[in-house]
Amino acid sequence: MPIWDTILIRPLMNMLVLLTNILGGNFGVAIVVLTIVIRFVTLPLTLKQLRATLAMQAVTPKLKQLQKTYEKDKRKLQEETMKLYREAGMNPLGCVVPMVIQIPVWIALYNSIIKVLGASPEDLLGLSRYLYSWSAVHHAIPLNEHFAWLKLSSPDPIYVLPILVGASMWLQQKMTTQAGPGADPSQAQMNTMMLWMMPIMFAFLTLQFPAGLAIYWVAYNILGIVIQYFVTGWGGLATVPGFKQLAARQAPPPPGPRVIPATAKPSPAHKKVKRGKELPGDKRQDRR
Amino acid sequence: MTRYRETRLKNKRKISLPLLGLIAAAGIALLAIGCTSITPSGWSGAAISQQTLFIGTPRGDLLALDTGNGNQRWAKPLVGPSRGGFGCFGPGGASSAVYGTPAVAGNLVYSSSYNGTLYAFDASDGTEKWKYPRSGAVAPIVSGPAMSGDTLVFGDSAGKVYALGAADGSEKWTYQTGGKVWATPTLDGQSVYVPDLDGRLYALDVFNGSLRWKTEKMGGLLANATSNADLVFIGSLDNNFYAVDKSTGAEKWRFPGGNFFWASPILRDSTVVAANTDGTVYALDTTKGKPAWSWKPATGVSISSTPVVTGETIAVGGSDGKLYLLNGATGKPVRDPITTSTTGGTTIEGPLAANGDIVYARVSSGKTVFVIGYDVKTGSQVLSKELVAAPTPAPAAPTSSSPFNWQFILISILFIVVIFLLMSRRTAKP
Repeated sequence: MPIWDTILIRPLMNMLVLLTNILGGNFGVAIVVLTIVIRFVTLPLTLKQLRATLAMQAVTPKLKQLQKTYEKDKRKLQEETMKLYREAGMNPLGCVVPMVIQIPVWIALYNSIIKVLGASPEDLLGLSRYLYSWSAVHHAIPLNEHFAWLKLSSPDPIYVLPILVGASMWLQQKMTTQAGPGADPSQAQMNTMMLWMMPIMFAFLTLQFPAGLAIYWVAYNILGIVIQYFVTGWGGLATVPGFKQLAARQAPPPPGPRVIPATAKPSPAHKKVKRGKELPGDKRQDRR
Repeated sequence: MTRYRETRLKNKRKISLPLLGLIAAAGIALLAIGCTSITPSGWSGAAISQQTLFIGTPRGDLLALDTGNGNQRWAKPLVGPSRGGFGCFGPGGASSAVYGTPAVAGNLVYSSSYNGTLYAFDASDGTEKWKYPRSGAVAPIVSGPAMSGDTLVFGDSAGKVYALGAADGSEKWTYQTGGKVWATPTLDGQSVYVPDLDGRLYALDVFNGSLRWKTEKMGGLLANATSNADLVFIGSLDNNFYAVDKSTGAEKWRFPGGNFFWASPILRDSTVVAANTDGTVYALDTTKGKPAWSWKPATGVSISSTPVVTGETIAVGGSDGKLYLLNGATGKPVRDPITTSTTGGTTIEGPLAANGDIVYARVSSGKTVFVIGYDVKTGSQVLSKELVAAPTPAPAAPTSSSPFNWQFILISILFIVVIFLLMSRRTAKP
């Protein structure tokens, strides 16, 4: 068995089956519960990533200014950029590394759900290679593929899940977007593309994927929204009619960035970053 | 303003295309992973009658081969009803993979198909005599047809058991179980025993389909049952092998194995031979369930193929593509295992079949599947035939054999590009 299967796929598959058994044979709920567990386990990484992203967003205008000032002196630009990062107490790779670590876990969970669904006889036979010899695991096989109105190995017949997947993904993307007059145009362009294309693509894929996978995506996105809210507040969603009033009603605390340093040692500049106070060049502050 | 707009457009061109490519690649990767599990290809065993071997192909044809030289006598595509949908689940016809071993009675050969249809063909020339249902389809059929007199019984993936008139396919009765019926029912006198994936074994009256008894819940049952005068034997996915009372369905004994009891059990004298997917073959005493002997090949070999008895020898097919020949009384190998292929990566799948001293195995090597015949006395190969219909008659409806269809991917890419273009126009507005 490949090492990928041994260290990730196999444990996740067995956890899924075990959870299904514990939850009275409900595979749909087991998918949601395992997604919550994995989200919880990887929470420190997620928070680190979100905070680093926020910090990066906060220094972007300053960075743009530096690029303009030292347009012809690349060396100086590099020095000043590093200085800016140091002063902000952030690591430029801070938002990439945690994400890269989490990606294999999420791909493995996605893969495990497909294998455990055992839709065809070949899939079910393949399960025998992956299951541990625990009786609790073997007693749950084959899993009950019915959950609410869904047959988990087939697409949602009434298209509720594609809508939920698209909507939840859009909400999460919107919360990360902080476009405004001071925003970097290329960043804004990328944000707009991500805001619309990813939800549409995933909703489109959900139309023809097994419902079990769609449940995983919906749970994953909703948990992402909750985590995102506690770190960044409503973010770009605060500009959406309806959410505007909701965000205003909730102040204080203001839904501004609650930036926590991505590195262990906070810099003097970073000490200023508290709830309601922001890094120099923060777009939200500029707007005000 | 014009300068601002130009800068934006310049930036957009720099960033959007790689991002677009990344999103499209992510979508295709998700599709590839998400669709790979839905490729039923079947593992039909061989039925032998009058020097003709009947077997299903992975593409969904029923082949009639000469047992002597492997020449094709006839081939019939099992064409199912076309269906809608797209991506992993279509479009085109449902998979026509054959899992159940065909049954032969008189001049008719019967074959079930995953496309939800049961077919009856003239055994001599392959002329279709009838099919059930006459229009549309039932749920996918993994079970094979079982025969008793003029009655033919099978189950479907929706848990429905059907009894048909063997001559004309007329429906005699149906019975709804609680799960999926993937095993071939076992007919024994006035009873038909139906293992169900819901974990129960059902005993039905063969004449009217009424329930005689059903067992307490065991693990999922997908192996065929076998019976002697007093007991019905069945292997389960909960790793146990069960014997239940034939008249009441009460459990008499159970034997724990290391993994799934996937292969169907066979009776030999006073023992029942059961193979486990952990690779162990057990011969259990039918009255007490104590192992008379057990045998296991090299580590890592799994057995999902139903063994066959030929004379004093029990032939067992392994996931390593080897055919193991054991002494039926002691379980000791009677000769070195027969390697069905030297290319590696092969596996023996589906039940073995025997005709005198010749044992036939369905051997899969990647996407290529063969039926290979060996003389167990000499160990020599007497037949090797790739399971491909030739010449291939064009099926009326296309069958979906690839993990996902490329039409869908092209549509997806087109869709993404259109969205991208619309977005570009929107962003370009000052």
